[in-house]
Amino acid sequence: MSDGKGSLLLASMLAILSAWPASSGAETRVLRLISDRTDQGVLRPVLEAFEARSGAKVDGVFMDQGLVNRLESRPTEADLVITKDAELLELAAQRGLLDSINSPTLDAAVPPEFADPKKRFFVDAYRARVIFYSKARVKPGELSSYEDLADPKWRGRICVRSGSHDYNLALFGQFFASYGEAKARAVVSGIAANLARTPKGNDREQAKAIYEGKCDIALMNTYYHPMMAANPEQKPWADAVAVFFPSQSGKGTFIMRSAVGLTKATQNRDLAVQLIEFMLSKEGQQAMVNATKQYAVRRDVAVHPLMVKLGAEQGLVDGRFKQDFVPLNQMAGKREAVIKLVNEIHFDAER
Amino acid sequence: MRSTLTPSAELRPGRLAFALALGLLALLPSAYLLATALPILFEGGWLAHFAGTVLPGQAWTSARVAAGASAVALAAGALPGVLVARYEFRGRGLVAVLSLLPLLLAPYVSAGTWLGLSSADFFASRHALALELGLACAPYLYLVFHIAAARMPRAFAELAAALGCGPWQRLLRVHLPAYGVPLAAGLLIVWAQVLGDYAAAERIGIETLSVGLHNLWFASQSSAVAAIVSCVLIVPALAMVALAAWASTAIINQHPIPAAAAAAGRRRLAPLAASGLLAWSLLCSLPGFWIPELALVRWAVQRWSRTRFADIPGDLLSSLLTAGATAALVGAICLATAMLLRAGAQRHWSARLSERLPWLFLANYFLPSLVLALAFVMMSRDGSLGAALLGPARDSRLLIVLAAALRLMPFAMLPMLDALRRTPPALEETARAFGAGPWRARLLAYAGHLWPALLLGCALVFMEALKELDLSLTLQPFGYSASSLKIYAFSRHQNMDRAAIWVLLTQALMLLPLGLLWLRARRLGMPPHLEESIQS
Repeated sequence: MSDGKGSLLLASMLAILSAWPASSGAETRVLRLISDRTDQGVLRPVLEAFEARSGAKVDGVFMDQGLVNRLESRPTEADLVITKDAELLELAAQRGLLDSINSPTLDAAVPPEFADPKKRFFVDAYRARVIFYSKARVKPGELSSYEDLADPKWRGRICVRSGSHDYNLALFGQFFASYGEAKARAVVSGIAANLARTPKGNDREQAKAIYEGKCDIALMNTYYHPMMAANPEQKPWADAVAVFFPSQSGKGTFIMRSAVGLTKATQNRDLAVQLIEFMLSKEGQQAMVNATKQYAVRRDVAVHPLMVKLGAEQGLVDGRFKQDFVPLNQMAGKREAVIKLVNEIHFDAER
Repeated sequence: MRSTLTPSAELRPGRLAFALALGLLALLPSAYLLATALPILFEGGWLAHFAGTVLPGQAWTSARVAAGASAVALAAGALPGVLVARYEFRGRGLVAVLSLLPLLLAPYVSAGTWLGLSSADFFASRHALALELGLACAPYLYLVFHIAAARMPRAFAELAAALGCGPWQRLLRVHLPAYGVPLAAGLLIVWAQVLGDYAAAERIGIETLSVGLHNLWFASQSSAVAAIVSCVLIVPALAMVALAAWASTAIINQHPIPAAAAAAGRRRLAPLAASGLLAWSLLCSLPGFWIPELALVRWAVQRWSRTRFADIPGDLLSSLLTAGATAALVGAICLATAMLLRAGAQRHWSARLSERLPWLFLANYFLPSLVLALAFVMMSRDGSLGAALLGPARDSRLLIVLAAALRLMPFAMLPMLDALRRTPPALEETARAFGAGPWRARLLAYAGHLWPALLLGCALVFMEALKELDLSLTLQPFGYSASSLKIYAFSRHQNMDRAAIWVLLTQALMLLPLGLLWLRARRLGMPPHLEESIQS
């Protein structure tokens, strides 16, 4: 084999590899989506409904983390981006990675507080980050607010996932925006001091830990309760806990927003807008509520029946709760402060 | 046997250039990250923040996990490896199989399965992580020690005995020093695995360096921050590579021992000791393979009705293609290296340099795969030279294949270099004397020595590429699917039971390379006449 032949062989192999598509191409239009949700998860029914309606195919990159980095690296590879944490789209918008969405349909359908002021993204649904507590070991009367979780009476009784996870970064960032830096630092530090164990696992594992008696309360998103209840393996976890909406007599409960935005790609702009409009139509919102058990941003879509009963013992009606609403553009700069705080107080350190 | 220098074996400039190109290729991701990070190293105070807050704790945690994993891997892998190579006993083949079986389970699968099986605090502890990573590394230590022991003649110990050394003295003064190099190599493998692991540590909830880096990168959503923090790992990784390259090329060659001669002197192990070894291997394989495996089989049966069978062929075919392409690319680069570099020629500085440059590929193995993924994301960004060079291929699986090949290259390159060192240059000269052209002579002379090492290496690369997760997760093109991604997606939501069928089918894809490994290890320990008869 000569040098030339060797190089030729290598070059041929690389050419074959690169030419081999990741998935077979189709004649139908292909909408490219990037998301930090899983392919198997809650997004699938909504995408399938859109595919059936539009005749287009939705191809995706589903990556748990690193969404903004990927978008930053390849701003036009996807037509639209869907995230479970709207703060990421606020970051992406600040970095100039999103385009404005001109759609009177969306303007009419979405309440202004759930739209980016420059229309670069829309919140498509939200859930509350609330307190799950042990029915057996905690009385609802013992619970009150997020700030109360820093009280020493909860020492060794709280479970939570990593402080560096998007959900907690978003929650703690809202603490910063709503309470001011000094109080927010005190609350987060107090929660860290009260942890029963090393922050680990995802939200459902905190409910499991309550069920197993490893802790008494946990910070989790609302939709996990009905989702666990629907899973035979996880139903005992759901049955062991109840949901408390913090600060209902104060400023209200913080929410986590999922969102959808347009990238700078223009090839399938019309199709991308169609998908966003579908997601925010009554039908799309209902599909989203049914699949994700989140709260719809449209006021004409009711709370899912399984969510209505959450917080009923607190006097909540129709599943509606008081929100401590922090606009996403007020979160600018908070994320970095929260990351540094989480590291400084060794929030995730082994306990 | 150490190769002898012949005048024709002196290195030509072209070969040195090729070796330098290999070294540059190996260092490209680290160099890119360093070049990105250095101008902004102190911007935003991230480096000082990381070093002043979580870094010491994470480094200490990683060191403790690595120490525990090393102990586990030595006990579960090295001990059987040596005894199987040195002794004849009933059940020898079974011990070999039991020792290699954990290769079928990725650490993150093992961690997820154990957490699904038991709620005991132990399985969510640092000790569990050390145990699972140690058991995952044990097959590598089995192979390293098996090969080392198979090459080690009894003459040294017999000489020491003849000079009056007792068993303990022989152990301390002959055996332990002789196993120094495989011990160092084995420990490097374990430490690299521990430093590189993210998914298992994250699943169990242990804040290792890799988890810390991951958290900081994705929390900040800043490649620049991640590049800055990666420097903390790149520098020690390069130091470890330098150490490994020096140790291997400077020490191993001082103890060149023909494998077959040592194998011929294998003795019988006492039945009681043989039974003990068999029991020990079985015991180690219970947590390392059998218990998680049985749980996975049970879950697969239980969740049969909820399995999306339509997805399976595509996922498996895609995984197979990616892993096969990775192994083929690694094999091609190794083969080119073998053809262009050559045996012997170790006295000239340029020859020594060219022999050690391919060791730089180890740097990518010592880095968390996440760091490698980060480098590839940055190197292939829109408007970059990488994107221009790759063209549309950037948006294919090629990027995953390239990154995985760089990371897994040492699995094939180092055994190949070792085989190359053990090939006498005289063989090539002889082939030339019988009329073969220069390339044909080289191919004929080296093929018999190289192909087993290359095959073994590519089999390992294939298996590791099938299990690989971080690179696929970060670099996946549109529409890409792989069994590892599906397993991860299920396990994220505590649905390891639904992932079971994907794990089992991925394992089925690994059976052939696992069989090849077992066969190769078996042949390595055989007396020459038996090895020849099997090969024929």
